[in-house]
Amino acid sequence: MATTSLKAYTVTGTTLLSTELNSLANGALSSLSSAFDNSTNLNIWADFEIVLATQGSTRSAGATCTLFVCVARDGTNYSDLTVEAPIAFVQSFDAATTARRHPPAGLELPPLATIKFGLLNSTGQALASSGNTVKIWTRSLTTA
Amino acid sequence: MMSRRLVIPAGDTPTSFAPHGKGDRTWQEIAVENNIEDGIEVFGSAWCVENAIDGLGICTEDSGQESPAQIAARVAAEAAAALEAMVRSEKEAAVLATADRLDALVAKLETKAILTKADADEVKGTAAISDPVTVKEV
Repeated sequence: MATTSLKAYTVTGTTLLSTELNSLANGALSSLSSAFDNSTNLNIWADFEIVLATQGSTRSAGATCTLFVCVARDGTNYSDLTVEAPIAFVQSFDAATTARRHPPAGLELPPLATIKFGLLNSTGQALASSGNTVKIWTRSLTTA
Repeated sequence: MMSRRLVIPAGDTPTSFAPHGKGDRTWQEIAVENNIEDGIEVFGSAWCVENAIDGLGICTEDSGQESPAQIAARVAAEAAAALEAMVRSEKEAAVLATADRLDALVAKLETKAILTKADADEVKGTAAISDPVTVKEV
């Protein structure tokens, strides 16, 4: 009898956002990432990693970063990057300046080559001038 | 109406190459890609200062913390409220002290049988609704 189980990641640690996050203002959205292509792998889920480099001032209590998703289902016209866009994750951060690495998970991916991402900085402080990243891993199921 | 602007590094211009990806796109091209309709601001511009923008990215008027103008308005309002409370408190304290002194004098007069109970009640009632009253001690 066939068994369905999780498949190993087929996309591992692809950087979505890096320089877009340099000195990102508190309350600001980053510009969009390059397009992420899920049209060949057709993976079902995405997991992420967000790294914030040491910030210049202490983050506010309740600090968060939110990753938004913009897709072009017609292959051309991307949905708007606003705070009303679909959310990939909301990651909390402590009220410190310390560099942090977190692994938020759980976005269901569309089977498109045209998926872009943008980050909202709600940490209460501007992000560091370099060293901040958001990466993606994608996975699916296998039947054997 | 709130605007949506792309804030770029100080010293850059809209035609400077952004450090995104391979760095082969200008800020102007990034603004177009991100549907920025209200223009590009260089970090530190008057608009950034007014809206307390503390970094780069796609910003709106309420992106940042309190602007200097908002902080000034809030501090002024708080100071005015505190001053008013202090003045009111001093006035109330003066009135209460006068009323206490008046009560003491009335009690003393009653003891000496200079005032009847009815007179004393009348004085107390008047004191409660009038400005501080000076009662000459007998």
